[in-house]
Amino acid sequence: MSRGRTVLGAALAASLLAVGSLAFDGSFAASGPPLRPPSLEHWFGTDDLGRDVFAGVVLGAARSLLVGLGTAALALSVGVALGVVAGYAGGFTDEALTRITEFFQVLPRFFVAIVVLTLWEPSISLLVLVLGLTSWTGLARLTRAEALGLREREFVVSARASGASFLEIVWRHLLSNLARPLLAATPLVAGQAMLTEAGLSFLGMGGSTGVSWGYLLQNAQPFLRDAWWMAVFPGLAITGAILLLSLFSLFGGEAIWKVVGGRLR
Amino acid sequence: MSPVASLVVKRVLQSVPLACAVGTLGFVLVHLAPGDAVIALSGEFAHEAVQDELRRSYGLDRDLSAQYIIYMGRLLRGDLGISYYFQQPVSRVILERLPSTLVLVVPSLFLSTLIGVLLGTLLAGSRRPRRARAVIAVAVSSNSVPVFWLAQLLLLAFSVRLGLFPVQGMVRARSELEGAALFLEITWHAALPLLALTLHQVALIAVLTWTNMEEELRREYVRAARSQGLLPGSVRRHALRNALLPVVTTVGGRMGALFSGAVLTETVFAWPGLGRLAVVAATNRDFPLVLGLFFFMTLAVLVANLVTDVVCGLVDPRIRTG
Repeated sequence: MSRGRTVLGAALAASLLAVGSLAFDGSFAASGPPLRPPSLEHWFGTDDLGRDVFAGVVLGAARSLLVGLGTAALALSVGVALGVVAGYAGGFTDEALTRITEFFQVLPRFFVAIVVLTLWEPSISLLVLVLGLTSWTGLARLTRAEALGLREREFVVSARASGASFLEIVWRHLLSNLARPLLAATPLVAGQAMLTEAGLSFLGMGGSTGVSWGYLLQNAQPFLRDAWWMAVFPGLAITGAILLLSLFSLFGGEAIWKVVGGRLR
Repeated sequence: MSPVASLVVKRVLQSVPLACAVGTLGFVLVHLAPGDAVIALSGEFAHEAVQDELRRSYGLDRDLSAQYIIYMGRLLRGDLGISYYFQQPVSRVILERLPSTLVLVVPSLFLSTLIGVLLGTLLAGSRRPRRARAVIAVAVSSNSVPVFWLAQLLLLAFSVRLGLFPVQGMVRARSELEGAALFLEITWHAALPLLALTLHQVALIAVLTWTNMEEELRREYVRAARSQGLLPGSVRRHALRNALLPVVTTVGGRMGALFSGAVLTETVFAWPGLGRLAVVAATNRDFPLVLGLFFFMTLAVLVANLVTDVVCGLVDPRIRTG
C-alpha cells in the first residue's frame, strides 16, 4: 500500500524535523530590520521587532510537539487503564466509570484550560495535564468496547481458565487487539491538543513560557495589513502538522502493521 | 405522558448529576487555586472590603462542607458572583455579550448543517471514486486548519487586499443606524467571521452525511422501495431521514468546539462578544468572570446534548420508546 508508505515516510521525516527543532539552539531575538518580507536571509521574513519568523516557527514546533506528545501519552494511559477496567470488570465498576467518562466528555476543554491557566501560573506541564485529563474519554470508550467484546471470547476464557492473571490477559490479548484502533485514534488526540494549545496561545494565555505557533499568530494579528508572512507561515506550520497527524491516523496504522507484520499477535 | 415528554423528563433528570458535578469541579478549583479562596472568588486585585464581604457571604470562615453547600446553592440560583473588572454581576456581564456571539454561532450552525447535508446528499450514490477521494481530502485538510488562522486568511484576502468587507467590529464607529440599515450593517460585518466558522464545519458535516447516505442506500428497505417502483427522489428522502441521525448527534456534540471556534474568530475580527470577554477576564485575572464563562459554556454543552437527544427521539421512534 504505497499511500500508507508515503504517509509513514512523511510522518517519519516530520518527526525527525520536530525532534531536530528540540535541538534548535537559535534564539527568537531581534536579528534584522523589522517587518521585512521573506528573503534568502530570513526565509519567512521578520516580525515587528526584527525577529526571524522562521526561527519562531521552529521553536514553536518544539513546543507544539511537547504538548501533542505529552497530552497523547497522558490521555492514552488514563483512557486505556479506565477502559480496560470498565470493560473487563463490568457491573457496578463499569457503570461508575461510564458516568465519570460522561462527565469529562461534557467539559468544554478550551474553557477548562482557560480557567486553569488563569488561576495557576501557566506552564507547558500544566497545559499538558489539563489537556490530557480532558482528552481521554474517546480512547476510554474505544478500549472499553473492545474489552467488553473480548471478555467472553474463547481465547480469553481459556487463558483465564488456564490460570493467566488479569494483567497477563490484558497485556497479551487485549492490548494487541487494541493496538490498531488506538494507533488510529491517538494521533487525532495529539492533533486536537496542538490545535487547542495554538488557540490558547493565540488568546495570549500561554504565559511567558516561550514561543509557540499560536503566539506567533497573535503577534501577527495587528500587522495583517503590513506583513502577511507573519501570519501565513506559522499557520501553515500548524495546518501541516495537524494534517499529517490526520493522514497518519487514516493510513499510518495500516502501514506500520504491514512493516511489523502482525508480529504483535 | 407522551413518549416524547417522558424522554425530555428522563434526559433532564440525567443532566442534573452532571451539572452538579460541574459545580463541584468549580468549587474544587476555587479551593485548590494558589492563595486564598477569597482571591479565586473575587479576582486578584479586589478591595479589602469586597474580600471581607465575600468571606462573610460565602461562609469562608466555616468548615468546608458548609462552604460547599453555600457555593452550590448560589450556583443553582444562577449567582456567579461579581466581576471584579466590570463591577457587575457575572451573569449580567455574560448575558449582555451573549447575543453578539449567538449572531455568529447560530447562523453558522444552520448554514454549515444545511450546506453540508445538501453536499453530502448530492455526493451519495454517485459512482465516481475520484470525486469521493477529493471530498475526503478536502474534509481532512479543512479540519486541520485552525479556525482563527482561516479567519486571518479571509481577512487578509477579502478585507485587506480586496477591501470588500470591514476589517473589524460589528458596526462602524459612531454610526446611528436603525432597523433594516442596522441589520445590513451587522450582516456586512458578520460575513467574514460567519464564513470562517461555516467553512470550518461544512466539510465534516458533508462527509458524515455522505458516508451515512451510502450506508443507508445499500440497505434492504431501499432495495425494496426501489423494486416497488418508488421514484429515486422519494427513496433518497427516506434514506436521508435515517442518515441524518448521526449527523444530528455529531453537530450537537460539537457545541463546545463551535463556541471555542467562535471565541477565537471573534478575536480576529475584534467582534464584541464572549471571546473578547474571555480575553479581558483572563488578562485582568478576573477569576469570577473566568469561572462564570466556564460554567456558562458547560451549561451550553449540556443543553445542546439534551436538545440533540430529544431531536433524535423525535426523528427516530426506536430511541423514543427504547
